[in-house]
Amino acid sequence: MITKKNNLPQNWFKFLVIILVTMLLTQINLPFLNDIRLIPDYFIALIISAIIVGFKNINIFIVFVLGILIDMFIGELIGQYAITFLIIYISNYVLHKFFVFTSPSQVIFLYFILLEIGFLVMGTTSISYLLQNNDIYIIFYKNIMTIPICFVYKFIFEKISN
Amino acid sequence: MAKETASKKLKLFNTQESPILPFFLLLLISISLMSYDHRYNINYNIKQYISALNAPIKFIINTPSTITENLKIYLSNQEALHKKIKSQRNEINLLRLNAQKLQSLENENTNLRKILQIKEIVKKEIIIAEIVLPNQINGIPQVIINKGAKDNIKPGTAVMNSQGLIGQVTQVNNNSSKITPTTSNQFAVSAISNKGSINGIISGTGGPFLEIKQLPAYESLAIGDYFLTSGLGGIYPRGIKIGKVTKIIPTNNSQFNRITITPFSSPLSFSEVMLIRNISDN
Repeated sequence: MITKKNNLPQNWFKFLVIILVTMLLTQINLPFLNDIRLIPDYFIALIISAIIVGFKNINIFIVFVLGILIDMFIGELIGQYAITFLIIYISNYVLHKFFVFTSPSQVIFLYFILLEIGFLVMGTTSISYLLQNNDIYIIFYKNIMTIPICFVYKFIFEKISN
Repeated sequence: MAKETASKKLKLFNTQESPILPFFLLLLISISLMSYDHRYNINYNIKQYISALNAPIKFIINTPSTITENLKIYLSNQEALHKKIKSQRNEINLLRLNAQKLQSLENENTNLRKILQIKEIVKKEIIIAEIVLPNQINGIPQVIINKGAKDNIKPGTAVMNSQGLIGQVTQVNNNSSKITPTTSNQFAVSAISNKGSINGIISGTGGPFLEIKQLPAYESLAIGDYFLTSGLGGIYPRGIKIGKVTKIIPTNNSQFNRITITPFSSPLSFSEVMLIRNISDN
């Protein structure tokens, strides 16, 4: 426990680097992808992985502040990512209250549920506030593109947490 | 085994503080922020303040294309450059000839307007700008140019290239500006058909096409006809090409058709754009 506490600032620094790299990724085009609207939502993948892996017991206030910061830098509407992250966080909390996710297949299922919840909130807010990319098909395809990214982040967070 | 798993993972009886109350509080704050931003557009002002923080990321994104461009110039041979210069000189001569004709026509038009006592056309100034990356942020297409408030660019300025209308400047920072392209679902422009008989409002769909949501079915519009800016509103000069009619779709109301239009120009296929500014704006 003591050694983990000593590693805390270093791990937060790594987390900051991951956020900065993610911010860079959100602005880079993927090769062989004709429609740039289908670029995966890296930040939803990042937050889901951080919450599930339990990165440094990330709490609801950190999740909210992170959401607001992302909204300010790359979001279309202040509060959109914040509300999405909050609902993902609380869904994870409620699901853990009622179910036990131990085997890898259960964890994959949890990833899938949280991802769907995240995109549902993003889609609903985009449609309600008449934002760009409020096309239901685009949101669906974006969702599919984000699934593999979740596992990349899962791998990274597991490496950092160990 | 069952006992071990339960004691390790089951969180029903843990002593951690419940995040439910903060959740509802933060949820309320988020909803209030979204509503406030939707109404007063605070995101726009915040983005202007923090644009400097985003500059290193923009620099990193633009570096590979800058290096490629420089390498292209460095590696191009002299003969090819001579050929290019020659063809461009010929083009300039032709354009100068056309400009002379246009000048005489403009003078004639001004005189006629004076005789007929019609209000004078507002004079426009053209500024050339370069498109810089990123062309999307988080999957939302966007066009950013390298001219901003320092170059006296203002929100609302019309943007075009040699093929047609590209969009409108909607966000101005010190050294860069953001353009809302014609294909954005937040874009609309008053248009007139090439035959001059049909007027309508063309709007972006968020996809690669534009559309006129409802056009009276009696209008004689055919596939292949194209639309130009009508000049109404004073932002876009009259006669800039917008797009070509590719589909005429009947709607539930038999008196109207929905028209799908393919834009002539895509900002992503060009590196330079022209900004059209009213001279009176200076």
